[in-house]
Amino acid sequence: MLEISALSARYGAVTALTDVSLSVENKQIVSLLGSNGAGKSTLLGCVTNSIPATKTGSITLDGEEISALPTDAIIARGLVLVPEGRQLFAELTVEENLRMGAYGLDRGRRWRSDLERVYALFPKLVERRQQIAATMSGGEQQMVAIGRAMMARPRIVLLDEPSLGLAPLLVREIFKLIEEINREGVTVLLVEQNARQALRIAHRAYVVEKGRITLSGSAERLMEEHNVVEAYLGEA
Amino acid sequence: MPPRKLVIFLVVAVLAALPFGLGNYGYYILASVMIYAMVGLSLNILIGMGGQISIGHAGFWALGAYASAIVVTKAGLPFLVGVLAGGVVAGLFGALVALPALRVQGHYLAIATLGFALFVQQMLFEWESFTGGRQGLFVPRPSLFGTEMQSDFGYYYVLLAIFLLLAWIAHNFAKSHTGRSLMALRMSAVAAECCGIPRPKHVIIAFATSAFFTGVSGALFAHLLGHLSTETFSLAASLSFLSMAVIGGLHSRGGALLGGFYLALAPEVLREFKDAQMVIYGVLLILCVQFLPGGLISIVDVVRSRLGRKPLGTP
Repeated sequence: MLEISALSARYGAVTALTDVSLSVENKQIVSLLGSNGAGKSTLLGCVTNSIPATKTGSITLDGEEISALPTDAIIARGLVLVPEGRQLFAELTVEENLRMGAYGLDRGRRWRSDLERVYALFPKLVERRQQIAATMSGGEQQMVAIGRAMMARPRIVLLDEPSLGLAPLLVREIFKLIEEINREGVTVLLVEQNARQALRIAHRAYVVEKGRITLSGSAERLMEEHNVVEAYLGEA
Repeated sequence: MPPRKLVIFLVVAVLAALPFGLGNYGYYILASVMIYAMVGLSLNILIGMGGQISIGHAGFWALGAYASAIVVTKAGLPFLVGVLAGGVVAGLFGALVALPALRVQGHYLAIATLGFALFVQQMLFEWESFTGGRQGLFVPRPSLFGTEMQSDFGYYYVLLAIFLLLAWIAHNFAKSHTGRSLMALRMSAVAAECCGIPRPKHVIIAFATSAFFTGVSGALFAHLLGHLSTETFSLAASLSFLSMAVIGGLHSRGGALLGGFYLALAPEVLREFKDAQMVIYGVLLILCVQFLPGGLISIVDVVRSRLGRKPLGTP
């Protein structure tokens, strides 16, 4: 569904990604693992065309080249990013945040049924619908961020470190939600530092180090791979 | 009549009644109130809705003033065409200034817009054949339907009408899809972009619209003054605009109007203090930011909240 081939990116003279190729099959969960500064967020930024990096290579969505399209056009094609650190509209309520997710769709029509669908997915948010986003806990904010992405009717979501800063119990819950939206038929590209959890729910995974893909394969295989365990699962 | 409409009606009635009993100088001051309030509206759009800073609005003001003066004197076109031309020329430059705003924010954007204003001022000064340079440019009195308006009394009502028109446009802009998108970008650019709001388009629209308003104001100002010189459009003017907008209130049309009154009346009230005036302005600005961040208009909100109504001055 999403094909990245020979993608290189740099910020001025600083190279962030070198010759990265990655593919996400329809309805799968693919995890991209790597430590801080490995280039994970740059990769997502290149896909959504929302960062000022210079890039070469190709990015296709269902066979169509999207690397030159503006962000809003990419979202309109069903690829939606849940950014690192949730990035909610802090002053708005939960429901207003969710409604903002439907911005790109035809105005004022089907957002109501979409909202019901998101509430069905995240029942916890129903009682919080009028709460100001900034006053919620990290885990709840992450739910809203994912819910907001779901409002755009994505076919594929890109999740940038959804477990960031969350307590272990909440991490588990967020990952369960990710599996759930995947079961609804949404393809997922998951960027994570929490390798153990990310591998547990993924079909395939890639490891990125210093801007290069150093390892890839089925999640089970990577789970067994000595390097990955050592590098990312050490103490987790 | 709903309370909001009633308030607007009363404000307009008071504004219409103000000039009576005043002399020529009073008319002139009231005319400047309207002209400044239009700049206030333009900053309401750019800063209040768009979250973009500009300390270059004197540049747009100058472009509007000179464009109108040149269109009316050199091309012989009617006054209102000149005013429109002033808005359009400034608006086009506004779209141009938006381009650096797509790359830089905050202090850097402030410096970029400051650079723009200095460039405009210098360009108008040097381009003598067109702008009169050092000597400046004479601008004819405003005229409507073939009759020249000799008194500022009549001109004040023209300005009031144009202000109300612009305020209505700004109000509808705030409620439009574009205005809402702009406010979403102000709250969080990343979040808004993730929702599919194209930032470049909206930043350009914000700058162009804001510059258009300021250009119209500058054009109207040129015809009020009767003579243009580049000194009027200095950095001090840009800074006055900014402080006027903050003191009046950045987030509403009412705040823009109060800002206009502030900028036009403060020098009159504080005339006695001579050189100490600048100090007083500075202190007023600091006090306002510290204790009344919503501007003078938020005093109205305090009263409204006592009455259990929704605030106006907060975004």
